[in-house]
Amino acid sequence: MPINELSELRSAAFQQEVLDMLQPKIKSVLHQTSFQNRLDLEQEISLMIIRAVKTKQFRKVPSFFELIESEKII
Amino acid sequence: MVQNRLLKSFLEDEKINKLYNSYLENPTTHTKDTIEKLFKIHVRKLQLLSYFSRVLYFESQRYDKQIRRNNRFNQLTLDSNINDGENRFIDLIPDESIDDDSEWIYSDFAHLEVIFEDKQLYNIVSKLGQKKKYVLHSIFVDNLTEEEISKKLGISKQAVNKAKNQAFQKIRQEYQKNRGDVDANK
Repeated sequence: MPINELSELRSAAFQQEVLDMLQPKIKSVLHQTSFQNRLDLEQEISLMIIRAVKTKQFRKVPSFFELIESEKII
Repeated sequence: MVQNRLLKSFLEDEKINKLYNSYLENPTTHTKDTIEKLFKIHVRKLQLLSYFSRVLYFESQRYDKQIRRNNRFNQLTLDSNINDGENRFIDLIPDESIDDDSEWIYSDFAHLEVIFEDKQLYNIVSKLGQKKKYVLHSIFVDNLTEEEISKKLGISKQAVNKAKNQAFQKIRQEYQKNRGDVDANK
């Protein structure tokens, strides 16, 4: 499906962007574990995110102009 | 005015807004494709973001749980410190491989009893095993510590201590038995 059709969505730059966006969330979530394990957890989470950015499938969203059309109808 | 939240957030970007307006004035397929592409990237970013902000909390909790579980099953009890960090718990476990009656070749110490003048003590000590004689000799004649002896023999400090205590116990027992015999003979 649509993930691989755009090369931009597969690029390392896009992965990095998503990771950067999620940084505050990761930092806040690290408090779930004890001090000694935080770095490990951070690494685990980053890995998980990178993996998901590559493979995760979401619900299909209508394209931009389809949405614009539906706006006009309303 | 656009109502859809997704479209709203997409058009908030100034560049995209400009691009869209230019498309409305001058509709070309190229601009249309560009907008569609940017929109797809935008949507996927939002999807990933909302997905992770929901999932990461539970993931981290799961991770913590797993670590706790591992710690519970693989406890480092034997490595924990005792005596204010001087020793470890594992030091207290006796070395089963050391057999008191095994052959010890300490010929120098095989005749520890000769230093005793008391006949009773001579008899008792001569009955002790060679290892016990060696330990007693090292402690009281050579003035070594138990730790030094353990290094020499290649056994644990506790095993040395055990041998020493057993030797004492045996001597005491025999001594009291002999006294009892003497008393009974009177």
